[in-house]
Amino acid sequence: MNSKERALRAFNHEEPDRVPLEGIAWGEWSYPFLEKVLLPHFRLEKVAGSVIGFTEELDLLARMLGIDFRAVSSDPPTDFQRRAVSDPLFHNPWGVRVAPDTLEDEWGIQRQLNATRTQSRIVKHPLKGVNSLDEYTFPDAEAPGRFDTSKKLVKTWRDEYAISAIWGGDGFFSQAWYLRGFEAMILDMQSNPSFVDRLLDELLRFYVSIGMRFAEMGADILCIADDVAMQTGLIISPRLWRRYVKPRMLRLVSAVKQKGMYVIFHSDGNLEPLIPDLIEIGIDALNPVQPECMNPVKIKELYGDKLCLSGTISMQETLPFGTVEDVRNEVEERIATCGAGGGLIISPSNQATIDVKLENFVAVYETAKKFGRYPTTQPQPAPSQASINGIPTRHTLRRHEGDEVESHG
Amino acid sequence: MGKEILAAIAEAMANLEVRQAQELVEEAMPAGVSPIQILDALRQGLNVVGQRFAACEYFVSDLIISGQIMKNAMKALVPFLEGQSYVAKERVVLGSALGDMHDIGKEIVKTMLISQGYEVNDLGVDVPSERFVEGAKEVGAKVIGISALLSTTVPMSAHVIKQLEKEALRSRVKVILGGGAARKEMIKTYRVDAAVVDVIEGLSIIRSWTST
Repeated sequence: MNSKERALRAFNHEEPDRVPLEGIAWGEWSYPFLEKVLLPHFRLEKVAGSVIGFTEELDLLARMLGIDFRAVSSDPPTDFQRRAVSDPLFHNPWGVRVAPDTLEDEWGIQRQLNATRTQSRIVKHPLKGVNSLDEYTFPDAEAPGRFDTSKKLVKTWRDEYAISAIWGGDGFFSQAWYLRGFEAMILDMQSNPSFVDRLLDELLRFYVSIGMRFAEMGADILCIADDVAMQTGLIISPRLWRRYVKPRMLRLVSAVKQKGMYVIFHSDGNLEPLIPDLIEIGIDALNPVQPECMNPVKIKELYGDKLCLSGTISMQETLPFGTVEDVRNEVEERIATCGAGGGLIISPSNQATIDVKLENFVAVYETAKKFGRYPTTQPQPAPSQASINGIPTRHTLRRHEGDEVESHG
Repeated sequence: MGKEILAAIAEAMANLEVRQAQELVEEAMPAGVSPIQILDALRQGLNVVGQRFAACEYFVSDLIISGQIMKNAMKALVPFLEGQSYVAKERVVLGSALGDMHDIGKEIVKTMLISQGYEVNDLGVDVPSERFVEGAKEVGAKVIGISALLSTTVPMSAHVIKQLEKEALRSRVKVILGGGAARKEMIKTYRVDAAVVDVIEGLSIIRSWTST
C-alpha cells in the first residue's frame, strides 16, 4: 500500500495498513526549527539552484519521517513574483518589500516582522476605512503563473502521495479580517451586512476558481485553513459564522467535492460548537484537533464516523516540554483510542516552534509507524529504543531510492 | 423613569443591542439621568457579557461588539463626565510578550477588567520587558499582565521581574502571566506571581491583589 492509498483510506473511514502520517505546515513559526534543527540534523543542506526553493529538502524530510501527504499551494501571478520576494518568516511569504522587515502581499496586506524576527503581524489592512468595495481590486485567480509550481509538484507526487492543496492563504473569516481589520470586520458583521456579503462573495469566487484548478490537476484534498477559535472557545460567534461563513463554505466544499476532492478544515483551538456544521457542509477531516483544547477521544466518539481527525499530538505541551516517553505514550494512546476504523491521521497539532525537542518531534513519527499498524486490536510490537538514529538519512534514501522508507526505520 | 432606563441600558448592553443601547444612552441624559449612573449601568451590562463569555454563551466577537457599545456610549458621555469624580478601582498594565503578536486573549482580559472598573494601560503586542515596567510606572499600576500564546515568548517574563527589582518596584507590582503558554510551574521558573490559562481565574487573582 503506498502513501496515497493509506491516506485516502483514512479519509474514507477504512483501515489502511497503518495510521497515515501528516507533516506540519512549514510556516513562520516552524521555519527556525526547520532551518536550525531539523534540516541540519538530517543533513539536508540546501540544494543549490533548486528551482522551487526548499521543496526538494522538504520532500526528502517527509520521506525520512514517513509522511504520507504532500502539500501544494498556488502562488501569486508571475508579474507579482517578479516584483516580490519570498521570505518564509512571514505569514504569507510572498510580498513586495515596502519597508525594512515589511512585506506587502498580493492583496495589499502589509505584514511586519516582530522585534525578535519570529513572527509577522499585519500593519496595514487594505480595506480599513474603505466604504465601498468598488475602490478595491481583488486578485485574479486565473492570472498567469499562479499554478506553475503546483502543477509540476502535483504531477511529480500524485501517484504516490495524497496531495493536499491550499490557495496559499487563509479561509473566509481570516482573509476577510486580514483585509478589513479584526475589530472592523466583526462590527461590519453586526452592522454592515451588505459589505460583508459582497466581500465574502468575492473571496468565494476566488477560492472556487482555485479549487477547480487544483481538482483538474489531480490534487486529492482541498485544505481550508481558517482559524475561528482560540484555546478555550470560538473567536467568532456561531451566530455570525452561520450567517456569513457557513453558506460560502458549503458552496466551496460542494464545488470541489463534485470534482472528487476531499476537504480538510484547519482551525486552531476549540471549535467544538461548529463541528456538526462542518460535517453538515461536507468537511471530511478536521485538523489539528489540539488536545489541549478539544478531547480527541470525545471528538472521535461523537463524530468519528463522519469526520477524520488529523493532527492530535500536543504541540503546546508534550513536544516542547515532555520526554520521548511522554510522546510515545501520547501517540500510542491516540492510536488506541482514536484509530479504530480508520479516520485518524497523526501529526503534531501545529507548527513546531524552536523550543520543540528534536527527539520528541521524531518520536511522533517513529512511534506512529511502529504502533500504528492496523488492525489496532492485534498485539503491538514492543516499544523501540531507537529514536532519531533509526530514521534514514538523505544518503540512505538515495541508495535505496524507491524503497519503502519505513523499512530502514 | 431613571431606574427603568438604566435597567434598559444594562439589558441592551448585555444583549449586545448596539443601536438600542446608544439610543437609550442618548435618551437618558436629557431625561436628567446622571452620566455616572449611565456608566455604571453599562458596566453592569458588560459584567453580564463577561459572565456569558465565561459560560461559553458569548464569544470573542461578542466582546468586540460590547466594546463598541461602550465606545459609542462614552463618546456621548465624556463631555458630561468632566468635572465629575469617577475613580477607577485600580490600574493594570497589559501587553503581549516580546515576540508574541497574539492579542485576542489580552483583549478579552482588557474588556473584562474595564467592565469591573479597572483602568487598563494596554501596551499592545510584542512588548519589551522595559516597556512593561515603564507602563506600570506611568500609571502607577499595581499589576502587570503579560499575555503569551507561544511557549517561546514566555521567558521574557523573567526580564520583567528583573527590571522591577532593578527599579525597586518588585514589592509594589504583581506580575501575572496569562495565555495558552502559561503553566503553573512557570511561577517558580520565571518568578512571576501567577500563571493562568483561564481568563476568569486570572481576573479573580487580580481582584484578590487589588482589593483593599
